[in-house]
Amino acid sequence: MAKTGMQEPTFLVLTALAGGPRHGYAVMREVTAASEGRVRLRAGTLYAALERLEAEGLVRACDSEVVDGRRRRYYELTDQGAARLAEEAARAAANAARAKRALAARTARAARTVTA
Amino acid sequence: MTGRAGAGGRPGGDVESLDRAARVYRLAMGAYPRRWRARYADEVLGVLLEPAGNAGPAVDWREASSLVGNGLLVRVEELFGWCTRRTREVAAAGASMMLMVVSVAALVFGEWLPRRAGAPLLSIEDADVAAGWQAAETGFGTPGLGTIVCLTAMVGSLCTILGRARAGQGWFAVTAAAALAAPLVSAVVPVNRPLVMHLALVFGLAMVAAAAPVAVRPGRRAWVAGGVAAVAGVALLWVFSSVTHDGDWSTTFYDVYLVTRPISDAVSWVTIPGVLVVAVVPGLRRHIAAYLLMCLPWWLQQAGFQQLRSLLAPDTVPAFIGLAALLILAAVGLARLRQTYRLERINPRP
Repeated sequence: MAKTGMQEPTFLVLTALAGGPRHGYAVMREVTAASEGRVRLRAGTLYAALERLEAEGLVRACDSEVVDGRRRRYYELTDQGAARLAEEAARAAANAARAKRALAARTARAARTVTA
Repeated sequence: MTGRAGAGGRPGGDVESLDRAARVYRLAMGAYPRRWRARYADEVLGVLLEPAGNAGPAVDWREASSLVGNGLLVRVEELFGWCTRRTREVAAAGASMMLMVVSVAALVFGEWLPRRAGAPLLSIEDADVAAGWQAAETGFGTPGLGTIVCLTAMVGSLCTILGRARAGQGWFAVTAAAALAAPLVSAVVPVNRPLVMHLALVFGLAMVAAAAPVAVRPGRRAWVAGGVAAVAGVALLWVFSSVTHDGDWSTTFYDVYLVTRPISDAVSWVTIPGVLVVAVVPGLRRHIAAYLLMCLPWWLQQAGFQQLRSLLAPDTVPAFIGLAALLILAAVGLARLRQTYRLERINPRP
């Protein structure tokens, strides 16, 4: 698989599933909560992501139940999905660290300019 | 209207609204292939109706439109799933180039053919009759609408590129609605029918729908620069050829209109709904906006600009001002895009 970054909604879906098996609606709520309301997944977007992630082997349907006459599936993260999420989290952390270093250097430069 | 149910169950009115919502969502899910519906439709419906609780759900039209958009995308993916992404990109770029060549050829051919055949220059009144126009007596006709279409598209593009995606989306919806209204209005109201603006408008939309994702990818800046140069160049040529025109606009009007009308009609009805769908898909918004901006010099010159010029003054000063403004706009957009590319290089998206 190409080692490219993933889009935020995908990242948040995987993060939601890292907490344990969840059905679609629970994933949507979890994503909204995790992003502090910034990302609101629509059902069409969520299931497009789930279908793609299933095809890539990152998540799988693990259980199902029938509620109000409608099937409700539970999805969970696969080992491959967990590895990918970890890799993505590490990349994001490295990016954040790089940004912090750059900002610190900028602050230091500004301080030097003021003292000079 | 029935009252709200207690904890025990739903009242009759809520069951009705539940059924209605389920019907609407099922209808929207018709955009997905059968295979997908068999696998996910029940689940998606459960997710969409779940928040209603005992209150009874109202149809969320954003969810419904999202389902339609995603459904069409899944169908497109399935349709072109047999070829690689690279092949699809090349095909999309090729189709866009072809569309551009065909459109320009149609315009040139429409101008050249009657001259070659020695067709007499008609007066504007006779040209109107030949093209099937109905002259407006007074008031605001479709030329004005064409101008608005271009301006709203411009605002939409800028909003999207500047990160105001929601506002941009609204402007694009207005643009598409206005574009749809232009031929309808001209068909039922005795006002001037749209000139080549119809073609120019849908030409831009079709190119956006086909080539936007290819054109603005990191590493494809040459495409963007080439596109801007091409459309600006053609627009400039058009303006300069207008300056040295023999003074009789009739050939420009009716010939171009006659030759390009079948193309423009066919393309417009296909592309406008398509662009509306694509405009609500988050991943493509920036691409669409970028490409729209690239098309704008061509677009506005053809559509609103020529109308504006004839309305405001017979000379070409407003033309140059308008064109200069558009080129500046395109430059600003490009600068913004460069910034985006840099960010995407640091933090690439799949």
